[in-house]
Amino acid sequence: MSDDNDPVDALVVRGLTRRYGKRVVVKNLDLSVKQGDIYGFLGPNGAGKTTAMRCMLGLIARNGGTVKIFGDSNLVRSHAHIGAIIENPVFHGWLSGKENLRLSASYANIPRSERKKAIEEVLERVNLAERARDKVRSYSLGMKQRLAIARALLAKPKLLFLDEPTNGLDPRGVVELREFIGTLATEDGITVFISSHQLSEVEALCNRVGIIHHGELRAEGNVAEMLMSDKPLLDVTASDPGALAAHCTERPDVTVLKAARGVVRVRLDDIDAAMFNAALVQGGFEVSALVPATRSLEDLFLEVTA
Amino acid sequence: MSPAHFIGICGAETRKLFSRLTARLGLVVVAFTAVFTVLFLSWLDGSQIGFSSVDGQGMVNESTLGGMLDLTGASTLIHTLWSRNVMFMGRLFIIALAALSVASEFSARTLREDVLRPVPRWSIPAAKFVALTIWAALSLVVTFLFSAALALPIQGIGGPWGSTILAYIATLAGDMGFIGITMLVAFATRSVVGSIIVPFIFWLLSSIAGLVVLAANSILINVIEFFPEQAAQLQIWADRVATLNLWLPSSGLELWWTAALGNSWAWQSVLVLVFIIGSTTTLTVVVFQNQDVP
Repeated sequence: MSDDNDPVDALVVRGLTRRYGKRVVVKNLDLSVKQGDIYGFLGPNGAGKTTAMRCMLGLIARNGGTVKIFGDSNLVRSHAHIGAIIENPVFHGWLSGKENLRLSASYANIPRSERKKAIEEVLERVNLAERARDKVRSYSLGMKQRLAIARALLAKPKLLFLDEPTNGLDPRGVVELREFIGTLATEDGITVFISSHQLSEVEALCNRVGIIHHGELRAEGNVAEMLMSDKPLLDVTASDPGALAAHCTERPDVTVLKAARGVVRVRLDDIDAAMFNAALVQGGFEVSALVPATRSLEDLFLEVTA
Repeated sequence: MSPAHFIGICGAETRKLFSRLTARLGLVVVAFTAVFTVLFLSWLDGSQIGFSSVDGQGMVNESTLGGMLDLTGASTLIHTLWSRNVMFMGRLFIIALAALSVASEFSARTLREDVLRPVPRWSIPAAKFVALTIWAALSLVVTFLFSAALALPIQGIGGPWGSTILAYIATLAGDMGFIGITMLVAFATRSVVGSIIVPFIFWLLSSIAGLVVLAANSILINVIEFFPEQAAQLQIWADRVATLNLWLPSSGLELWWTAALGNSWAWQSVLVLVFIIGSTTTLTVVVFQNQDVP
């Protein structure tokens, strides 16, 4: 974890806490995002992801902690360097896409002389130039999502916050968005902070992840390093998967990661595969397959949030 | 925040406000109200509608409403102001627009996009206030121009222009008071309906309180003759009650009425109006500063 004053960190959060009444939704959250990262912020529903992001962006007050964006804790100044899409894209539906962007450009303090060019550039970039004069209420969800990206990119941000950006998109839209985010990071050098439920998307896109559960950061690090497990994983197929899962759960030397479609995935904590197989047979299970498995982000997520 | 940036967001809020159907409809209604009032008064002026009375010596006095109105170009413009303000045509739109521009942006979550920009929180309600004041001023210009275009050729250019102009200026100040009240309620409650109803009830209760005070004053003055030995004391109380009226919110919000009657403005009423505008805008900023934005 980098030092608070490290100038290379795009985002540093320390001790972030948010309560609603007596309920603590975000507990003492620490995380760091380095410049150039595509950081995946993961967590189950209700884990506190959106609340944490809203606190980081100053949309809601925090009960404790600090947030520094490019080393600056002043929210107004740091907002000049960020773009954000929080939850569903929202616009003034009775205005055209272009008019909505003009309003945002005024708020972003883009000089009047550069405004028109900046708007046309971002509209071109998200392939909305042809529909720019249409009222936003006539846009599909995918188009609104693209317009929201155009708005987020309008002021040439250095850090982009995306909260569940693939929500409601069709498979093609998801792939396009993933490629677009990749381009933003590699070609434009924009740091991306993305919260998502799509673990496969995050695994394909992000170089670092943080996993939040019950408002606390449970794991954070480089994706490749985190997926390298020093303990072997096995996919076990046996006569009675339900009983097998129950049996393994009771054993202190293995951890059940998931059980689906008759296959139980376990992590061998303190036993090797041959002895585990023998123990299962001795326990009365007819083991038909014992296949070494590769750890996925989904496994990591399930372990951390178990 | 630079002045140019603030002017920029005021411009954005003004463009947004004027793009609303309600804002455009409001200007049409205000123009229609002005035209209708002038035409109605002109018709009344030329009509023989009136009443007759018999005095104590048996003489019959006949008066027409037109004769009593004593219309001039300037006084007609005051009557159109009366239609705009007392009939609540203009002010209803001001309250509705203030409620929509705040509360509906909370519910639509579009306010979030403004907060995410590099602007201090205070500048957002301030820019909305400026935009709404520009709409109120434009609606007054529409009232003035449409009335003048019709009334001056018909009634001539004579009349109390000084008090007419002052009444229009006082109306704008009163409108700013209504904008401040509505915005405060809208930021605090985030409800469009509540933001429309609460200022209206506030104005209504304040006006009723004003009427009650006037009635009390009138009663005190009338009972003086029955208690001649208490006359001095009762007169002091009657004066105090009359002064109390000047401190009511309605006295500030309806300052235009004093101007329209050609009377000088009571400093208490001016102070009340300044207090309403100042306190509501300050409180709005304080509320929004600490508010979670969905």
